[in-house]
Amino acid sequence: MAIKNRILWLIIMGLLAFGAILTALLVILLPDSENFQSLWFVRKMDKQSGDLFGQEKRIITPTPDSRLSYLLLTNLIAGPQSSELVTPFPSGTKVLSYRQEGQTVYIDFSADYGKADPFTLSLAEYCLAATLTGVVDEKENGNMDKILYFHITIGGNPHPYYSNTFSLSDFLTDGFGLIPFTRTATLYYPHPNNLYLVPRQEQLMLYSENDLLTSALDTLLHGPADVPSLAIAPPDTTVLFAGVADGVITVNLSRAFLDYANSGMSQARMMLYSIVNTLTGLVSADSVRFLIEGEVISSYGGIPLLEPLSRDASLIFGA
Amino acid sequence: MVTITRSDTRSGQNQALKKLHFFSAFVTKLNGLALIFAAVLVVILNTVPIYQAQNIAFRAREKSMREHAESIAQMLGWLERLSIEEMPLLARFAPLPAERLIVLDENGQVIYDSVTSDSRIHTRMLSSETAAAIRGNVHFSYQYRETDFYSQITMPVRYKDTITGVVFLSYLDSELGTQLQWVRHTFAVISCFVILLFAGFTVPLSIHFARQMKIIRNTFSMMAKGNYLIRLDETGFDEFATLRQELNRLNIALANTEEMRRRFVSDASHELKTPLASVKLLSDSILQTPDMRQEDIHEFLTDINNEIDRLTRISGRLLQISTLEDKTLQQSYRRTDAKAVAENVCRMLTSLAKASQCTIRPELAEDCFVRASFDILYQIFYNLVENSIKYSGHNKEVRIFLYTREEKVYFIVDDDGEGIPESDLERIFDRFYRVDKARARSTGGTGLGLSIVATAVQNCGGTVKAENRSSGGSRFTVIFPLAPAEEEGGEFDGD
Repeated sequence: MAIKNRILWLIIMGLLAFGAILTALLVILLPDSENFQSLWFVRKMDKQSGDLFGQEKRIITPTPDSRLSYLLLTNLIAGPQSSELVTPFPSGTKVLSYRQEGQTVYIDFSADYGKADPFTLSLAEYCLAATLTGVVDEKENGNMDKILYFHITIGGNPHPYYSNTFSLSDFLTDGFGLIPFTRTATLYYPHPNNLYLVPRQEQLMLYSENDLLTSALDTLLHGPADVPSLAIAPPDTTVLFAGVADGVITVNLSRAFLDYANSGMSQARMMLYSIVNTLTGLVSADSVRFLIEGEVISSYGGIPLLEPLSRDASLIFGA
Repeated sequence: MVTITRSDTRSGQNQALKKLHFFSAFVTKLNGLALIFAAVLVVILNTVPIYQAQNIAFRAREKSMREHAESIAQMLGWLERLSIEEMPLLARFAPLPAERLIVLDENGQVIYDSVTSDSRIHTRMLSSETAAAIRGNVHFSYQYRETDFYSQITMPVRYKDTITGVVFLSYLDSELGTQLQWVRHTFAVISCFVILLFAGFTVPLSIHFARQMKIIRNTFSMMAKGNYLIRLDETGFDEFATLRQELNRLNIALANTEEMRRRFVSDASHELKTPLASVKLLSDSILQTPDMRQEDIHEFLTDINNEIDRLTRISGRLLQISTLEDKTLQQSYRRTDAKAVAENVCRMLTSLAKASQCTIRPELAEDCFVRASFDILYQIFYNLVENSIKYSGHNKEVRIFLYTREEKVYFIVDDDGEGIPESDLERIFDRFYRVDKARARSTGGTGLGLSIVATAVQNCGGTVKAENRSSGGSRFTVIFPLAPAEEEGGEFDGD
């Protein structure tokens, strides 16, 4: 048993030593990673899921005659070295002209480029943007601007689908890039007797943190999905804007909101403070300014609205 | 088969007990097995049902989303080209609050987004899912994050045979996600319960096993040191109770054997010492009396000679007993005709009977076959008949019966002697036991004849008993199992 353990121990130590030596050799022998440039291509699609694009690392060194970005573009058109990737650029595509003004690159492709189907052109333009965005070319007296925008023409004519410039942010390549998320928030609904507000935990669906106020307000106005009868506003009311600035929340609602303005002062009070107490509990703000289609209204059901309404915690049941 | 030699046994007594190796211990293996079983059960409990529940939920969701996306794609399929201007058409397909509808044109550019707060209009959605849809495939995918169950479908929009765009529909179902999480939590609780149940069952069981093993191990250890007085508690109905019971029986048997061995050594020493003492005394007398008469010397030497003969007989008989105790002898046994052996014995003892003025009356039936060897059977019959002749006295009769009854062979020797005292009947077959020591010595007895008979009968699978007849005299009854007829070709058949 002891001999077996010793042999096993020796094997493990040997493997560790081998790994350490191999790592050291790789660090010493591999060239500096700064010289590697990423070129983006389309993966061969053998299945309907997974990444659509893949990158290939190459060492591309600019020459006095050719700038780095131009070399990257020509390499991109030439195609990948990997058999798992393909170039989306139509065969025969040539760069007729290439120039950079500020952060924008102007590229005029040959007519062959326009022969591809619209979706393939989009793929090609994403590969172009992903490869060239952020590249900084050198010039005689310093560096050029970082490349961020692209403008494409075909044989001197405008692009058949995109006449404007585009950037990398105009593309969404993550298959699950639009997944919303839920946030638990406390919303205050008026009690039927209109004497106090009742708190209720709601799951709000958000696409970004900026949606929090809009989503909460929308849920208050139209009621939660499981109890729509809790809606505090007329059904046609829409949220035009909800945002916070300088500790004051501004809410801009459609004119339909005014339909309940004459339903009594106590009900109007509860409606407004339902919104005020809910929204001020979600962000760091103390008051809410109400606008109807962008305009300040003097009052709502007898409640003055010329000034923002401050939070009133005494209206909350059990507070 | 393991053979233990005497030297092994001796060294084994001095050798310390092997230390239990933790990983080799039975209890460790039992606990390990229970642990593996529990782990497998927990893994299965926490994967298969949840996976199935998720699968069912996903399939249901896929079906409803596919139907919804199809209806939208069909409506958009009336348009030759999809554009932002045409998208108000989708107002009638107002999505649910948790739903998001996106329409892409043939470039993959978003031309409609139902979520205004996060609108992606003009963004080009270039994922593998949209690429698949542009190629004409429907793609449904889902993700499960904490309490959120997110699903999405991409479906091509066809105008005649041309794909003009893609419908992208997504749905976030927190309620279903919560339910799935509840299922997961429930199974997690069940798993904990299962683990506790296993632990509650296996831990006490393993402790019980370990304790019982230790008791038995310690008992064996004590036995190895020669202590046969340990008696274990025999209560209980499990295997360990049976084992403890067997151990107690083994201890009793070993103690008896040890006692017999001691007594035998003591008796044998005594029996051997007496003639040796006589020889020593007589030879000393001769040596220390220079003027001893020739007649006296001759008489002393005759006595010495008789004592030496007696020593020879004792050692010979002890050797016989030792041989008879060898169980491997049974392998050489054949179907033997007991009548032929008995006739032979009667013939051989006729002269002794005549000398004792005694009559031998044999009544021997046919077909009395015993599984034994001729020699061993002869030994039994000879010793019993000779014993009866010696102790029956003058003008008496020794009757010999041999017959079969109920698959048994009976060999009975009756004599008309004085019988055996009741107190001696139980020990009459013990080694060196004599009813009348003085008389036995005078008749040349060694006290081993009946012991040889008992050992030989036992070796043949039979029984022997001694009793006093009501009309006087003693009776020795030997009962053998009848040897089956198919065992032909016995060692001795009388011819």
